[in-house]
Amino acid sequence: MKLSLVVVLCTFQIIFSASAIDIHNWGGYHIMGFYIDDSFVVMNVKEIASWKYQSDNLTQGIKPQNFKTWKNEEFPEYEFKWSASVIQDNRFWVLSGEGTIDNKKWQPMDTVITGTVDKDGTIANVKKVRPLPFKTKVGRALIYDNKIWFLGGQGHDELIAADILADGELGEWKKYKSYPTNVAAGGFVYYKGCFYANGAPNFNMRRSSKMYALKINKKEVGKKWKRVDSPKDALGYLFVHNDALYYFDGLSGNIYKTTQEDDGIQLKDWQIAGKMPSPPNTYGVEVAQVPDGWFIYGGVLGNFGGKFSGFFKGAFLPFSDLK
Amino acid sequence: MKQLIGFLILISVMNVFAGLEVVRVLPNKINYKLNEDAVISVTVANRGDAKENAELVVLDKWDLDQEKVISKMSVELEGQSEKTFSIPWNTGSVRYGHESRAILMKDSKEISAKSEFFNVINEWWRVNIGVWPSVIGGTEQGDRLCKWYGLKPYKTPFDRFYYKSWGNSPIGPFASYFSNWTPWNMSFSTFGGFYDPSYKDDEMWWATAEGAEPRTYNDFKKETAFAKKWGVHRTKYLAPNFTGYVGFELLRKHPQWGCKDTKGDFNYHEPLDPLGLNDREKPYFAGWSHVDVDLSQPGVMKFGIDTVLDSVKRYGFNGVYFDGFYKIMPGYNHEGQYSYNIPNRETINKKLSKYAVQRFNEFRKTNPDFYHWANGWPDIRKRFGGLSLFSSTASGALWESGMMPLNPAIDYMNNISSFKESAANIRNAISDSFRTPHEFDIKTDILHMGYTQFPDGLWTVGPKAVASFRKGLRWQNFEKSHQFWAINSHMAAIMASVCAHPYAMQGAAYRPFTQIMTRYSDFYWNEDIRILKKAFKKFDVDALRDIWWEDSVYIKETSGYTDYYIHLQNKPDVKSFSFATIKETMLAKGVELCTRIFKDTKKVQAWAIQPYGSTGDVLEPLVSKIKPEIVEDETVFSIPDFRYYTLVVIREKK
Repeated sequence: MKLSLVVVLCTFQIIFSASAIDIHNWGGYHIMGFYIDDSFVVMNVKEIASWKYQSDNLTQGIKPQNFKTWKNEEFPEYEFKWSASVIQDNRFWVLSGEGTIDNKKWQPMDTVITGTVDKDGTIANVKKVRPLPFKTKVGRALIYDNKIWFLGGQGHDELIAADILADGELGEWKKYKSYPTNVAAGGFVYYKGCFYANGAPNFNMRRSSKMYALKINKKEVGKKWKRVDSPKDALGYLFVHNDALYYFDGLSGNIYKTTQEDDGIQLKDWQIAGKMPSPPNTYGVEVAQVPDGWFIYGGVLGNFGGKFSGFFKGAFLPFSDLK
Repeated sequence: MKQLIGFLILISVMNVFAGLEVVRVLPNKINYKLNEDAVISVTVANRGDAKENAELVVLDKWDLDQEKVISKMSVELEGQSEKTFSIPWNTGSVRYGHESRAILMKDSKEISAKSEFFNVINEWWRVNIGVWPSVIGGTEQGDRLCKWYGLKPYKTPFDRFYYKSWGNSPIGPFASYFSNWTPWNMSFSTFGGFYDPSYKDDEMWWATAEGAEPRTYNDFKKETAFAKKWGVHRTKYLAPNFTGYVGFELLRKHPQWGCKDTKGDFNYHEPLDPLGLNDREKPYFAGWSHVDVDLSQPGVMKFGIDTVLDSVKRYGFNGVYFDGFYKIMPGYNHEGQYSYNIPNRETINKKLSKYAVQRFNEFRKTNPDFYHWANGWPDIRKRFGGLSLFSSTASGALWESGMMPLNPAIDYMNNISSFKESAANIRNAISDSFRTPHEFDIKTDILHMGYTQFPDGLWTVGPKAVASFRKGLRWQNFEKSHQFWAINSHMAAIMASVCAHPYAMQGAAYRPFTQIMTRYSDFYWNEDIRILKKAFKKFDVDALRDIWWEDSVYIKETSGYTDYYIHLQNKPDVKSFSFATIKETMLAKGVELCTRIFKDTKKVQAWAIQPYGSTGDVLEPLVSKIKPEIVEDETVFSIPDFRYYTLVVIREKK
């Protein structure tokens, strides 16, 4: 049984990796995207593409204009997939992900790549910087106190951070209090004096909405991840907006919202604040925060492992649509 | 000088009490019904030279501090002698775990005491433990067990407590506290075939399924008698496969019942030796060699259930364990049609499930003790993970982890913390299903967990492989690690924390856990236990080490009190399950459990229950009463140091 599952997974990976390169049509799943200085940037396997960001056009499903691409010819072993990404000003970093090692595809990588996005959307200055101290994929990252913080990744529970130096270079990675479990696929944000993270040890283990929080300020990092409230049976991404914490649950399609308790770490009960424009169980659907709301894109319709019925094309969700 | 005085006092005390001791306590069953007449054997020895006498008190203990005297007698033994007393009693009406404690009293002082643990319950499946007795004589832990039970160390491996030596175990199922037995090596379980009257009692069979070996009906009868004698319940194993002489004979008569390949031949699974397997004269072990059943064919499911229920009645099984998938599987039927292209496939699958459920329910009307279970568990996307056969008023699931935790390539199983997460997720799914009405109507939340080889190291390959193990690193590690005590204990702690029923695991380190689960089964498997939602908002644990606990807090309400069961796991020093782990995990010291939920601590009592460790002379649970303390506005419980696991029971009177 196990073997057949592996075969199915591999088959999916082959089919979708091939078709996922066609990012012009927003095809694919778990494709990275972020807003950076008037551009919306998408990374998928061998390409980085940027568009002049226009939320109205995106809402209407019209292909954005001013499209530019950067083809990865410099780091052929590396794929822009299953990675974590962060941005600061007009610079982005992509950390870990999948790649080819010794002719074996889809291996976890320790690669960290940085680049800039010019005003016209041109991807420039792409280079490798100090790698992670371990190889992994499906980790997550954020920037706080001019450091890149990287959490987990498949097979890992580490919380590490490196100073951001000139030209996107990174300082030594330092290790902080490990997450209570291995943690892959999920959210990781700074919110009101704490890091909050959610997710499961394995990206295929979908029934795991557990969240933990770690107190942090610029002087010290907490010594204990505390379990905090989380929506039931959810898995997705975390965002901070308007002093509140949002949880985009790709399983139920719900968007939940909460705020912090007075103790400065626990969360109040999550409330449903809205619905994702993607159908429930859209496998690998992504969420990116953009100036006036969120952009939800990518993902396999019809439930991964079920009957494939195409990719989710993407939709804009304005802040005003949420409670 | 002080040391010398202390030594002299010790010597004098030892001289006074050196004579009499309780050697062992042995109930005649591991599992009793309510109000059943039972017998406890208590063996007492006089190790001194002079005649000695004392008072022997035998208690029935249950819950945490409940007990009643079931026997009180004077005993007198000549020097260097042993005597066994048979004490009849009635098990009464208190359900779940009990303890028979024998105490020798002299001048109102306790001079020696020992206990044994068992269950009293009619719904035997609620206390299922399927850990095979593989505490092996001739090893460190085997000899330790011998010593505890007053038996001579046994220097020949595999002859005592071992799963193949059923009838030879002098302590019956108490070697591992197993109460449910579904061994495939005695099941003769080809689909649709169990009993062939043409076989002589001493004629070798080929029995289907992994691990199976040629056996005889005499073996079966001997093992059956042994299980029955000790109150061990047996579930009939059934795989949806044809194999062996009986299976292939069935296929010869009904060729349309077996799945075909693209050429129309039977679709044989490894190894491809159907003729050899069909040779009645030379049965042999051949792994998973079989042909899948084509359940889309009319009458096949009926035939399978008819024969399995017939074998249950004929041989006094207590239930059925369904291994594999009882739905239409990939393959070609006898008309060359690919099974997945059958237009009404899902309808047929549902009918198969419903038919099985209906038959089991009917059977249970006249056999109320019947229980059936299957491998698989509900899944968030497909509630039944593709397995439809869960249902009826007594049913359970098996999470078949197999050898996967030892495979580094399967990260989420191999990594201990991830495995723990998986276990909690599956426990949650079972628990949700229990309380959510749906078409399959699951009525129990019984999760069996385990299956096949987890590292004892020796059993996995049997006696013939000992030599090769001795040559390898594994054998060295087996000894150095106290028989893989650390990784087995973490695995057992995960199972205990999700209140799973351990099944078919091996290794001496499981015994302290199955012992606790037997004695305190009421705190693991009582039907009124619920997962405490958002436990992290009600309790907190302070410790220098990471302690896993938030997903394993439970609550049970009674009319007189509320119980909280908090399972504490010490985070392993290693990340992964591995034979290479030698060192035991460092102790968790100074662990404190804190809460603000209790308004009146005078109504609160607490206990810590811990498994015995890899060394030490006492092989019984370590139970300590914990005094709650008020620190600022919190109630704080200081937990005794532990290496792997502690069950904290907090009881608040109403």
